[in-house]
Amino acid sequence: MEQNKFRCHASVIIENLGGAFWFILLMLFSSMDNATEVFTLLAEGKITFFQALAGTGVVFLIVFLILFYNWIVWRKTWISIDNEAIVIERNLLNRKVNTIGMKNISNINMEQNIFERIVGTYKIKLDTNSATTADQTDVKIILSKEKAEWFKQQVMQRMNEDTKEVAADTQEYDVEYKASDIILHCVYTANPIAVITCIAFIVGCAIAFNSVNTGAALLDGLVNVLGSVLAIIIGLWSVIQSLIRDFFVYYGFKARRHENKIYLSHGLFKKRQYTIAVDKINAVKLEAPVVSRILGRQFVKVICVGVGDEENENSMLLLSEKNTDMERKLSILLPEFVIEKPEIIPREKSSIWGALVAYIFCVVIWVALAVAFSVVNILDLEEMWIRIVIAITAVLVIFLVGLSNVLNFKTCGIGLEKNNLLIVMGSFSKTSTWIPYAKIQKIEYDQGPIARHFGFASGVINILAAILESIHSTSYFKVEVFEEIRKRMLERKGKK
Amino acid sequence: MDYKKLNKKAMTCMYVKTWIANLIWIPGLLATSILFKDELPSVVLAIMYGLVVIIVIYSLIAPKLRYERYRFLLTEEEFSVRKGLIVTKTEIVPIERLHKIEVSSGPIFRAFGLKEIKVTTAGGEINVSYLDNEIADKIAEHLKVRINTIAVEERNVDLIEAEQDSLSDAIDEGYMEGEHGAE
Repeated sequence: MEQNKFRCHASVIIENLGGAFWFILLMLFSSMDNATEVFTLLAEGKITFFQALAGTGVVFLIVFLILFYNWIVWRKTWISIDNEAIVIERNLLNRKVNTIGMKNISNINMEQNIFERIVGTYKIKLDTNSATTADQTDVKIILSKEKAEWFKQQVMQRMNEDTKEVAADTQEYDVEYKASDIILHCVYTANPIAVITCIAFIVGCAIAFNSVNTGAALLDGLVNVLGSVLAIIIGLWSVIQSLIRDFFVYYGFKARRHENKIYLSHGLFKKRQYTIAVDKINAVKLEAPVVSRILGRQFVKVICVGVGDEENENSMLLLSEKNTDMERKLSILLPEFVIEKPEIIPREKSSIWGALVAYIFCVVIWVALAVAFSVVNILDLEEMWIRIVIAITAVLVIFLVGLSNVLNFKTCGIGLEKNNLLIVMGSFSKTSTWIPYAKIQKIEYDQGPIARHFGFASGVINILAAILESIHSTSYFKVEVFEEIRKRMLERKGKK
Repeated sequence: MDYKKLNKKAMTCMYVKTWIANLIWIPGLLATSILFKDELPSVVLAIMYGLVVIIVIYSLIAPKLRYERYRFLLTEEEFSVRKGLIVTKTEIVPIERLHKIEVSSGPIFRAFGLKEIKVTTAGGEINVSYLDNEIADKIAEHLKVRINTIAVEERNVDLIEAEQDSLSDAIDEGYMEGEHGAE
């Protein structure tokens, strides 16, 4: 049997230190002063050599021990690859062997953070076919660029995959986005409330700046305004951060289809390269957040094990596009999912009674709140404007909840295509999820007393994916619809 | 579809489990309301007594209702359960996609000769509880046999497809060679 045994790149020692690296740096810097002082005392003959050694040695000993431990871990960790499996072996006090069967590997991807880009290494990500073991290789595999590409090639060969596609960066991509497209994607997909608040704050600041126009008041005014701007920036940091983060994450986004694989590459600081096997895609999700929906745009995500289960990781396939462009690009990357839309079954009409009861309950509570605080003034609020704000808020909430209910009825639906199930959900935003029947792992439908009376139910479709993407809820439909999905889910090859 | 009902002793077991769970609450609430009768406002006392009454009524009605609604179904292709008190939940998994079958029984279940079956797929699991020992074992056995049978059926289809592919490749090659020969 062919055996290739090797270690990770030595830079893994620094990477494994993580937070401890900064701790070590801090300790070294803080101990420098002490060391100088100790050596001065030694030179003046106030302390003995052994005392000086004890004074400075402790800190250096801790630093040395941490580094030594990580060095030992690196030295004693071996990766080997044979025809059947990848074996990661660690021979410390306990011998630990982690075996990942080749047949269970669904994807092998490479990614780089800033440190790895400087050092010239790649992190190997192995995704397995099981939800419970997805992305849990227990050990970081960090290799030099050449070694990483060789490793990927070896694994893909054993997975019986095309090995010509490893040097993904050198190939031409089917879909590429410019920086301006990515900025637009960030804006289209931003939370609308956050964007409105952001604009309102900016307008407010502009007005405040404008009002500061006379000499004496200028300095005080500027200080106040700058203080407010700082407060706003801190307050809106999460919004700004998410916009900037998305830009960095999707910078240089490009995608390519070759045979039964999709190759993705993106990221400014942390460069990610994914390979997605088309047959491992369990669902395709078309999302249109409010702004995108108004502008007739949507973005596409794929749902499969491995991609999208890490923090800040997104299984994006296409960024925000006009619907026609999106369909054209999707037909290049994933023609399997460009299907003529089936007839959409709208949300069950009789489910309006449940929604109406909930809405009346909401209206009663908000009207009661508005009357209590604004009309009766139970808190004895002196400022009239607060009472007006409360009343306006109540009216707004009642209006928005009502509008959301109406839009939900207009948006939600279900489509039963020959091989795929289409679930459409949303109120202000819209999400269409295509799930092949063969990929459904479990169906569940719930009926409360009203639903039982009218013969409808709400359902949940479970697929194999990262936790957040594995459960797909549906709106309310006749029980017969769920029974039809059940029938199609049970169809399989070789069934007698 | 013919969903099956549980054995009558399952209902007794449901009653026992419900009462054991609620025996913590009822004496607790009663003891608190008696011990702190003078300190607690009358509204709080009324709520506590109300809660005791609700728990007692719930413990009398809920197990019966739950038993009446509890159904399970096992066919050649699927395993399903329907359960719930106010909201009924129907869960279905295809046998083909099962990864794990787990049969278990705790002390109360053992006292009643009952077992629980948990089946797991790559994307979710279902639990069917209060099954007779004999029925639970039969279901587990049936599932094991079916998983293997389905795997064999699917492998056969794959083999036939592979053979057909290689045959058509061979025909194509022969045809091409024939063409070249003609040239």
